[in-house]
Amino acid sequence: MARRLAGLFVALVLAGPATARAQSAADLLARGIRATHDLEFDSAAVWLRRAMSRPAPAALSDADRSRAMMYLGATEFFRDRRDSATAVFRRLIVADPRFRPDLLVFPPEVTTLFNEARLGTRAAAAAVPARTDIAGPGDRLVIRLYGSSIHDVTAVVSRYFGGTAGVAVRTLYSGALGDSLEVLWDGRDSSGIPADSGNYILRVASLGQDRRVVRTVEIPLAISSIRRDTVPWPLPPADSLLRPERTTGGGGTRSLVMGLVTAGAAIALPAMVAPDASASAGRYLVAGTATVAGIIGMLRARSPRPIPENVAANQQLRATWQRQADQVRADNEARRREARVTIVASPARVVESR
Amino acid sequence: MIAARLALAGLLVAAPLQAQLTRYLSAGLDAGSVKLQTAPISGTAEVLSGVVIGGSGSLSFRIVSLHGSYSEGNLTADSGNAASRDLVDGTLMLAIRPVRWLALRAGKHLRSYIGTSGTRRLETWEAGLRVEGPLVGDQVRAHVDAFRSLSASVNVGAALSHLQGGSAGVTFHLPRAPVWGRITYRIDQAETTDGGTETLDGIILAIGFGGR
Repeated sequence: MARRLAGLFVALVLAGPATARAQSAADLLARGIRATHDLEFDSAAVWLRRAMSRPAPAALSDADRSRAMMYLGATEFFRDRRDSATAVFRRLIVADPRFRPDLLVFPPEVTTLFNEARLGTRAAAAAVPARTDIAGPGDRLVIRLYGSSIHDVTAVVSRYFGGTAGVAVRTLYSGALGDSLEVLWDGRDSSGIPADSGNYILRVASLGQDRRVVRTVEIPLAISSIRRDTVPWPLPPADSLLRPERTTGGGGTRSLVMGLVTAGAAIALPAMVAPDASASAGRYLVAGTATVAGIIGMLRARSPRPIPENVAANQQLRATWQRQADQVRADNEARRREARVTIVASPARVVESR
Repeated sequence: MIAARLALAGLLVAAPLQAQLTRYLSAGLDAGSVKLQTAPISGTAEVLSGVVIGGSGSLSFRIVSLHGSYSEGNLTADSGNAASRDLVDGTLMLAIRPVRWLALRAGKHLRSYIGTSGTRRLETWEAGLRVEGPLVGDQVRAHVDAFRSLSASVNVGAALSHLQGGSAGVTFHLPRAPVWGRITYRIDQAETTDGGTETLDGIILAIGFGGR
């Protein structure tokens, strides 16, 4: 062990800081891997940590970073630092829940420790297309969830204001996540209305056994929603179009006149037709009936009463307006549900819960 | 079974058919009390009265309508020893209604007095007008009409100079059914060329359906 440390020290001294800075992260990773294969675990750990600490733009790619962490965990394991190895593996699993070690490269002891760490870590990853257009009924945002181990997750889309998540717009999934899962979102809220334009956030929360959130994967979503204009509400029938539904209470004279004329005719007819004859008294019955009916007609005409024709005409007018209003309402409802939604997703980030 | 089916079919057809027919057809039964007064130039004046029953009907199409009526009864002397006789009266008139409240009509009028000594038959062509108007909405309407013969003839006795008359009445329509009732006072007088008169008047009650 002492000889290895000495060798590493010599190598570092010979290489020098300037040389190390000049090396790319990929070179450092290659050195670390080579050192691991050469069983020089101490120096391998140094190279690997240095490779991972390289800042952008010389930083490792996600895949190389996972690879570096796997080698670092293995190195720590071989350095008899089991807890450190487990911690490295957990970091690796949280960063990339889909990662699995190459069984041809790493010995069973290492892969077993990795799997123990994986099964004890509740982490999820979410993959979302960078841009999704939802223009038709069949279009969906496809969210692929990956789990490190079987555990419960929730996937919720919320409004995002000023760096904090606001009101939940739609809960896309709540349940167990195994290896992977595909969740779809049609760009609408829970009532079926397309989401308004703005910033949203997709939060995939991994839940612990006590149902508390262990960690969350957050993916910012920028949504632009283009809706069809709604049709203006039809104006109700103007008062000028409505007919009076009750009489004004005037008139009635015609009924009285008609009654009196009829009564007069019944009484006067014998004198006009047969002045020399003795007419039947029954004519007075007709005269009285006509007079009474005329008076009743006059009184009835003078008291306001419904005009059935006008009431029916107004009802028809109002019914026509109501049909138009119902049609516009249904049309607007359909227009509100029709929108072209474009979703632009930003890179995911993992937030550990305290 | 067949009768029941026919009855059911009849009921199904009757309602819409009736709704159509009552717009054009009207028919009623009449009953009334009439008084006949004769005042011949030579001879004894007579006063007879009695009850007549009959029926009337009309067929209308737009402003043109055809009216018919028939009634008969027995007249007996109110006083004196005038011989009783049967009265048979019938009319067939064609009417035109240029406006809703006015109808002009013309047609044939036949009247017979059938007694033991023979039948006296009056036959006239008449023209007249009828004025109608509402009393209480459209449910109660009044009418007044007047007519005069264009030509008149009689089969026995002195020749008939003319026949003229008129009527006034009130018709009640049920609000939601094509049924009506009517009370009418009617009077006419036939005058012979020698100056004699024959007056028939009375009150007629009628009930019918249709015409709306």
